[in-house]
Amino acid sequence: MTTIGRHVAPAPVDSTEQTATFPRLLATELHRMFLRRFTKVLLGLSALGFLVTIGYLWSSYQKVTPEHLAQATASRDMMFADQQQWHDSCLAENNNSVDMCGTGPELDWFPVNQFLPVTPFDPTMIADYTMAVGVAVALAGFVLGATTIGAEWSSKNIVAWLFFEPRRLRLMGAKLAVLLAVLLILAVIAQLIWLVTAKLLLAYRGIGVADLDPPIPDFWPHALQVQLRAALLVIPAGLLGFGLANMIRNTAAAFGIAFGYFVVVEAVLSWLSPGLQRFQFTTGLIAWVHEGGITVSGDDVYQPEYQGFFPEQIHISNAHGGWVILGYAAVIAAVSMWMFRRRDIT
Amino acid sequence: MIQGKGTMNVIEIQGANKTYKRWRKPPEHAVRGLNLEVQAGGVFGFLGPNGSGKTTTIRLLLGLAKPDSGNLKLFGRSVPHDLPAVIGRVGSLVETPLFFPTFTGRQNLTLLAQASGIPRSRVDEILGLVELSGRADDRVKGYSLGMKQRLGIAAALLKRPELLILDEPGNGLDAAGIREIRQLISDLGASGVTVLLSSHQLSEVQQVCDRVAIMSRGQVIAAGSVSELLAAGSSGDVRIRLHDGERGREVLQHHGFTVTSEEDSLRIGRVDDPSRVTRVLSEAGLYLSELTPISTDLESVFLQITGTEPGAPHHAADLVSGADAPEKEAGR
Repeated sequence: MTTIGRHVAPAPVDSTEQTATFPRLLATELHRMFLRRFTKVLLGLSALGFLVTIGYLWSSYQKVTPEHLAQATASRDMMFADQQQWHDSCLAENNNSVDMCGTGPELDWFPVNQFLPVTPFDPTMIADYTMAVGVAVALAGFVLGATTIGAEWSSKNIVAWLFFEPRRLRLMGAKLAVLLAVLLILAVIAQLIWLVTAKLLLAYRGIGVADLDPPIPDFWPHALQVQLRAALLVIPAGLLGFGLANMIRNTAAAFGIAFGYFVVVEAVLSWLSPGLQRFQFTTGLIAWVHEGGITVSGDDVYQPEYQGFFPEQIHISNAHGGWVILGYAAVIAAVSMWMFRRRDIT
Repeated sequence: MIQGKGTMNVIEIQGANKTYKRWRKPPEHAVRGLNLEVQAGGVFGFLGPNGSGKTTTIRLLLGLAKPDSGNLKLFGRSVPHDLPAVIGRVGSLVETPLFFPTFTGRQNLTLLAQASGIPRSRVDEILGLVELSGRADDRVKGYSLGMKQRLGIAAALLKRPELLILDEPGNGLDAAGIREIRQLISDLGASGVTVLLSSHQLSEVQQVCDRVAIMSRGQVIAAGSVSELLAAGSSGDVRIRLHDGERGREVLQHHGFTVTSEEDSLRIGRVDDPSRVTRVLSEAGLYLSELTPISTDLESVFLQITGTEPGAPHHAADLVSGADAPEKEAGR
């Protein structure tokens, strides 16, 4: 046998040892994902964007000192006393008519932080920024999901994989599982980083939760709940990006179709039949990110108390919104997998 | 049934059909009633003009496309159903190699190796074999077509396959590269690997293949050993030289031969028995200084069989057995 022949002679080992098992596929896909320059660039840009935002927040807010708090509390108490005095005199002049003077002022109406002489990073801002971080990671997840499989199709490397693992659902399932796991871990890491950053901002450029007057009960448990909701947004986003690009076999076309459907088609559908909003992706997305969900106007219905037709008020809760967007994403991903299983690869 | 040599069928295809539906166009029958058997060992040439169905057949075998009907087997296992059980024994390169352009050659191979539990040392070994060690850490997008082709061959050899399916492996290679690949394929065949070589570079096929099958319009229309095909495709003409050419021509024509004068020789058409030419001339007192059978090459046979050469027969079975004449090929 020649030298070349020795190198290429059929394997003497049991060929079943050299097969693509599912754990091997998962490890390979994970390796590939972090080998991709796009992943590195996306992570780098995300880190840069985060640092720029934190820098902006750091320079925009000032630390609240005990003196600031004392000064604000005094101002708040003075205004509260003025209001109380005005209300008492109003009642005296109008025979204690609540209709004329309204109810008396309450301390909750005058949070101390509104009287501070400096602008601090306020704990009440944390929920909005938490959701902003969640939406940014979800957008990155959509892009990463679409390009992960879009790059496979555009380079046609998917064919090379099929020469090593012809079970298509298994192959694609490994890719999707790794994508979702990585995205979820990245989203959780982003939220942890944001939590630490928020605490640093509160400590050095803000007002502590304990210093809030009136206090907000269960502030941190609620903040963690918002963080969980924000982090989970990456799952439907990644599924959607992956599913669309896998179905169309082109990343750019996936973005175009996503934009066209969610911005144009759903707007037209909600205009034609407002009641459909409860099943629409965009409404579900807004309901998921918005605290307590949203209320939208549906189709006109007869309302006996007003004796006429008026739009039905539809409340879409966080959970309802979440299930809707997850449903869309799961169906699109499942259809794309089914098509991949059936189609001829040319 | 079209058969290659050997003892066990590595590839078996019976009555395979594949039609591609096309938008607002008539369907394309890429493969129709295809029968083919390739037995273990050696290099099997798979020839045919563009669009004849070679690549579709390979795609069917590798599970990239599903047949509309028919039975396909690799190592006796049904394809595509049992393909996972045998894919570890099959290496393949179909048309252009497909790699991530922004990854290096080594990274692309390492990922494939990792997925199959192939040790990394094998990647270095195979990169050296295809002479890409020096460029292994460059991005694939900077590779020439020939380098990509060699990387594709490297990927196909990673698994130490028992069956290697190569679709146009010479694409993009220069003369030296083609020679290297030819040597590699020969060595593979000699080392016990069965190679299915799809190519239109007929001179290459003629040099490395033991057996060939020729496809046209979705069917195998001829098959056999290269020598059998050459013999069957030969015209039977001979060229002779003698001192008095004009008289020789008259004598031969008088005995029923078809003779054409050439510059300094005579060409005699369809000679079944060359000794008869010698005998007729010697009886007339004329003696030959040369008698040469006019040989043909695989390219001429191919063009004749596939009907792309003027004067080609209407049906290839006129030349060699094909899909319509299975009994001729059985046992070859």
